[in-house]
Amino acid sequence: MKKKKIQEAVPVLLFLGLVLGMSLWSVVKPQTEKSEAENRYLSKKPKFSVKSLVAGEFGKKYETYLSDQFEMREEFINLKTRIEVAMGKSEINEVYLAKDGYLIRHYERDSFRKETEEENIEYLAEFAEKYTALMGEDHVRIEIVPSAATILADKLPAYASNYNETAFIEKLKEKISSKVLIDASEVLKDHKEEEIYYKTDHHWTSLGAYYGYQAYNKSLGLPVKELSQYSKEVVAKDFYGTNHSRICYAPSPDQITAYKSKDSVTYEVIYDRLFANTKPEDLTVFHSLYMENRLKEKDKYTYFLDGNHAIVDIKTSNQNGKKLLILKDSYSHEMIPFLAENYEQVTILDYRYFHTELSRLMPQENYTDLLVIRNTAKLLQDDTVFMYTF
Amino acid sequence: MVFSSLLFLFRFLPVVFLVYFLLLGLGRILKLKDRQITKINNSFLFFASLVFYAWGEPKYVVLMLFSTVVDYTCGYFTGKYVDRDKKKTARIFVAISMCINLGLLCFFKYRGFFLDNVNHFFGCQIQYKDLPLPIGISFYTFQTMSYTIDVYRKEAPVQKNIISFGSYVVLFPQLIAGPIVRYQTIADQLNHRVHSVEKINYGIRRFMVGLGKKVLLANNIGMLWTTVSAYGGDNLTSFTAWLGVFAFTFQIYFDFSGYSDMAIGLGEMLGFHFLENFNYPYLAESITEFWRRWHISLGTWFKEYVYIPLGGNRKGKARQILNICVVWFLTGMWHGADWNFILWGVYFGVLLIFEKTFFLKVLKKIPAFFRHLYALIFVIGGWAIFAYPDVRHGHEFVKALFGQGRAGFINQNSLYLLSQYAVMFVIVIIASTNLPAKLGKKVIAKEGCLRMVGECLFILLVFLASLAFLVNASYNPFLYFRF
Repeated sequence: MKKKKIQEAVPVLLFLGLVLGMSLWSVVKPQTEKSEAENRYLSKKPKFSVKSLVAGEFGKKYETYLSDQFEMREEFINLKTRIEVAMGKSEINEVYLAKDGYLIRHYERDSFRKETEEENIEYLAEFAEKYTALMGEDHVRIEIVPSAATILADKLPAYASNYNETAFIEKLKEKISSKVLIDASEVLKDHKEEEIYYKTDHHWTSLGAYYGYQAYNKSLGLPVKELSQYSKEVVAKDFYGTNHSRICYAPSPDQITAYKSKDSVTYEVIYDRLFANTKPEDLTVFHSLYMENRLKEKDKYTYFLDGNHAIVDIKTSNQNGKKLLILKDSYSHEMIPFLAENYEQVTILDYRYFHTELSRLMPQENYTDLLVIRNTAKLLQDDTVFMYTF
Repeated sequence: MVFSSLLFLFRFLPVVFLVYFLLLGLGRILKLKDRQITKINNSFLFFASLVFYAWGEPKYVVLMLFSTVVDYTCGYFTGKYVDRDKKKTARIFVAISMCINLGLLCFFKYRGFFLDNVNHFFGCQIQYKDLPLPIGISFYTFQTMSYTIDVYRKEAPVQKNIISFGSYVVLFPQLIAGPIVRYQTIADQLNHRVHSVEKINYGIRRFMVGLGKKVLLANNIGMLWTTVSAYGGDNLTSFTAWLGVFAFTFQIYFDFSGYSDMAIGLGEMLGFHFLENFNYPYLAESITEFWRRWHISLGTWFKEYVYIPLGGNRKGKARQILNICVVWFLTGMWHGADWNFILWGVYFGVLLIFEKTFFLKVLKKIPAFFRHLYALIFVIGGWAIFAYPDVRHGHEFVKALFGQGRAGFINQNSLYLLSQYAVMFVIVIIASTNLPAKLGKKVIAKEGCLRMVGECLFILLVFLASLAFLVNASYNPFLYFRF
């Protein structure tokens, strides 16, 4: 009889132990600022007030806090993904678990605001017209880089679909002169068997960016350096990118490779000069296009040009009078090292973080060339493209 | 607050559990009488349940307290006059209770629907303010009405302690989504409850069954329904529509029965015993049987308090048919203030009349497989009506089901959805039969260590897996604010 009682009691104690233990721990454990794996700030315990309680606000915030600060949160999310994979799912939280260990972001038409597509085509066309008239057709380029889902479509799960980026690029081609518009998908498709996209991140790799640079230089009739002319460096072997962050799971990590110039060009890089409150002479000058210390963080992609900044100025040791202005998103970060060594100066603008009119910036430096580098998916989410035309 | 949340599992539940059993132990140490201990515990449950309810909607606590006071008072006077054989006077108090409860229900749940229709059909422009529906109002008003009626019928004694009565009305396990516990079921338990390790053990396992059903099965298959129901006519092939309605069929079952399981389990932990609410409804071989297996507490309520008082089947066939019509119109209406719910109720009313008049006899003669198939087809057909409060959208959906949609029979996307959910479908089909329970019983039948280990493993696995999905619920990584 007594033995039976104990056998009844053990599962009860297990359950109580789990619930009470985890509850207690969640009360006493220190709060975490940021989730490295998810790459975002976590919500903290909300401040209590009668007003927010009555409005029901406190309750909601408290629940978010509980979930955000939950112990081993990332491990639990990983477990969830694994359960779903075991149940035959090949898409989780809008990430395809594609062939060969690729995690590919899934977009559909309604992933984007309806009007943005048409508007941005118009703005880019207006931009191309305005600046080709100003600088000449040989000095203005718009390079469009499709996402992995388009180029690596063969790797997607069976019957999977994705937003038709090719059709979007075709629409751009109708409005913008074929000399100005560079469709990177052509060269990328030729090399789709190579590792041109990260497996766990939404960006292309340095190799992909090299082909992007190739397309750009060819379009301008400039010589293209062979890959063997660079020294290839694997700078990180355990990179887990943004698509990993969405599901806390990846079959294998990525390597980050940088192709560094063997020539003796030197750089002076200044970040956010228009934003700093400090005097120009106090701005920190970096002598590399790469940020070594970023490799210690989760988002190692920021190794290239320190991630997103509103404005970056690069002065090189070249004295050829060529000055390039780039309007971009983060796809450009890996391509710029290939470009920079051919110019005397490169200025990089990201209009998602920046509001000064282009027409006011242009005359300050006599830019000789103008380049837009945009990834399709990022372009379709961007409501600041109208700034290109001002 | 809902059971399947971190807040409930790691804040509410541990505190309530600890305090409840501390009070119980303290009472025993102080050698209080059982009745006194139960009263103290009832007061605590009353208070805890109010917190539980107030978490999502603090303002409507007032409404529930009002309902409690009204029914306590009405029940008190009903009981008083029934005892003195003044049935007519007692009836007045039953009527008051019903008017106030139904009045609340109508005002909060059906006012908008009623006025919309008046405006639509008579071309009026009556304005009204949209109020959020008080959570659980359909459940607790039905419960409190059962109290006064049970007292009137002498099926339950008057509850003299308002706190004990209040703890019945607001009892958190069944407050929000049932089962609709009739007062007579727990009248005795409010004054006297048995607590034992066996009951807690059973309660925990039952709670885990429910949590798993809700978080692992209903939510996951529900994602397919969410996807399909968002499709417009251009994307909705017949095949996709059928996948969608199958998904909804399983989602609603596991969601609802999972909630009932959790309620029953929590009740057991606290010493209550509620009646079963589901009994493998998708194993039914007729619609009549389906409704004996689906949301049993609601069916019983309508049977006991509407169908039988109206005369049931004792006043001839014609009257019986009328009674069925009334009950099923109301059942449909109870589920929501929209035409599709009424249509859904009437649909089942018609099927039931059809079966009662002759079809059940026909069914007996055909093989069990076809009986089962017949029942399933019409149950699933019912869900197609139920799923769309927007009649126009629902119409488009039903058209697609019958191959009349714009998108044709099948497309690449249909196959994609099938490939994503095929395994899940196999799991939910098996889980909706009595096979897992049979398997579980086989393990439980074995006394001793094997059983203990089995129970521990079950609790641990369901708990951890459910947590993995719950933690992720708010998971919305804000990756792109930096890119």
